[in-house]
This record gives sequence, C-alpha cells and structure tokens, in this order.
Amino acid sequence: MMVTMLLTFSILGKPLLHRSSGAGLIGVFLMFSLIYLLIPQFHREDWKSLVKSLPSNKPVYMITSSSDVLRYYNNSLKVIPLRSDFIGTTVGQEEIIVIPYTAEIHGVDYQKILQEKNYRLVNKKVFRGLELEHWANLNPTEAVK
Amino acid sequence: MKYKILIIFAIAFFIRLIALNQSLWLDEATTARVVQQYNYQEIITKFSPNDFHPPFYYLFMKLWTNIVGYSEVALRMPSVLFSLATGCVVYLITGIWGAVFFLFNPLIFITHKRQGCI
Repeated sequence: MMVTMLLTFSILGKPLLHRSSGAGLIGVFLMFSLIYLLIPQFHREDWKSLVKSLPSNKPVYMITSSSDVLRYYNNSLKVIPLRSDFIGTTVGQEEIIVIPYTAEIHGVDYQKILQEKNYRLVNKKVFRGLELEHWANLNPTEAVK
Repeated sequence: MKYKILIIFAIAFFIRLIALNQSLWLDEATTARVVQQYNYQEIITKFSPNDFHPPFYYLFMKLWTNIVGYSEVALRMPSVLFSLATGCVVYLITGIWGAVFFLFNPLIFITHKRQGCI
C-alpha cells in the first residue's frame, strides 16, 4: 500500500491530498510517533532493567538460543538451559531464577518440569512483557539426583 | 525549497534519535553477538549457513562496530542513516510529499527503521 501511494505521488506529479490535509496527516503521524517514542510503556522488552535486577552469583535458567540479550548486558552471568535434565541437578539450588522467554515457542513446559521437581513459584516480576520468575525447591535433598 | 527539505530531514533525524538507547531486543542482541563473536570470514562460513539472512548486513555491521563500538546507539545508527538515505531516494522519485509521508510514518519508518537488526 505504501509503495502504491508513493508511486501515485510520482505518477500524478502532485500530492493526493490538499496541502492542509497533508499537513494534518503529518501532524497525526508526528503525534503517534512521539507517543511511541516518549512513553517507555510502548517500547519493547526491558532487558536492561531485568539484567540489572539479577544477582550475579546465581545461575539463570532460560532457553539458551534466546539468551543473546542477557549476555549482551552481562556476559559473566551463568545461563543454564531450561530443560528437564538440567533443572535441579546442582547442589545448593534451593531457589532458582527462570526467564521463560520463548519457552512456549520451543515447546518447553517449564512449569510442569519445575513442579515435578518439587519447585514452587515464589516471586514473579515483569519487565515490559518480559517475565522473571523465582522458583523455590520445597524439598532440596530430593532435587539433587 | 532546499532549505525546507533540509529542515524536514533534520526533524526526521532528530525524531529517530529519541530513545535510541532503549533496551535491545533479541534480534538486535543477536546482531551484537555475531559481530563480536565472529570475524569477517567466519560470518560467511560459520554463521550464515545456519541463518536465513544473507551475510552482507552482518559484514557491514562488523565493519561499523569495529569503528564505533557496540552500544545500543552504535548498533542502531546505521538503520537510522539508511532510512534517511531511503528518504532521499523517495524524495527524488516522488517529491517532497512522498518523502515526508515516508520519513514521518510512525508504523514503519520510526519504529522499525531504527533497529539494529535485519
């Protein structure tokens, strides 16, 4: 549609709209652009704030192929695959941090996996659509197998 | 007339700079990882065969980031400059109204043409 309109401008050699209507349309464009740009709620996922809120000494469980942003903002964070064979296999993991970003797309039912391993959701924060979950193990000795 | 065009492009440029340092998202961070992790040859031989985009954008970004760094603004600036360059082409083809329509369209040219990814 955009190309068609631009070509129409070119073929006719004059604007489709009257000058005042065109100015009005540009005013509407500018208004919506500024609303988007100036109000952070409309921006994309806030990885920057999420990474700042993470403790540096705890590993993060997530889909590793989607962890580029996490590594960009903090390359020293330990990222562990959000998979059944990795969860609960390390001693001292009474509480773990999970970022379930793209888990659904990858078909990983992480909630079921964690519940089966006696973990329970204890805290959840949202960073503009990006979820950060804390899961606690109800029975830590059984998780290490 | 030339003065008017310069003002229009200056406004379009400054609008694109607003919140340019907002958080990266996945595809942009992938660009950052690729240009940090691979050299020019490896982008072609190791990364591209497993990706569905041609390698030229990443090769250009490798060159660009070697010069200006890996910050959010640095990663997004080529998209800003190329969108303005596209605006110049649109201006030459369609005239001032076409260029204005292109440069200030909020759905496409403000949001997508400032991202550090393909």
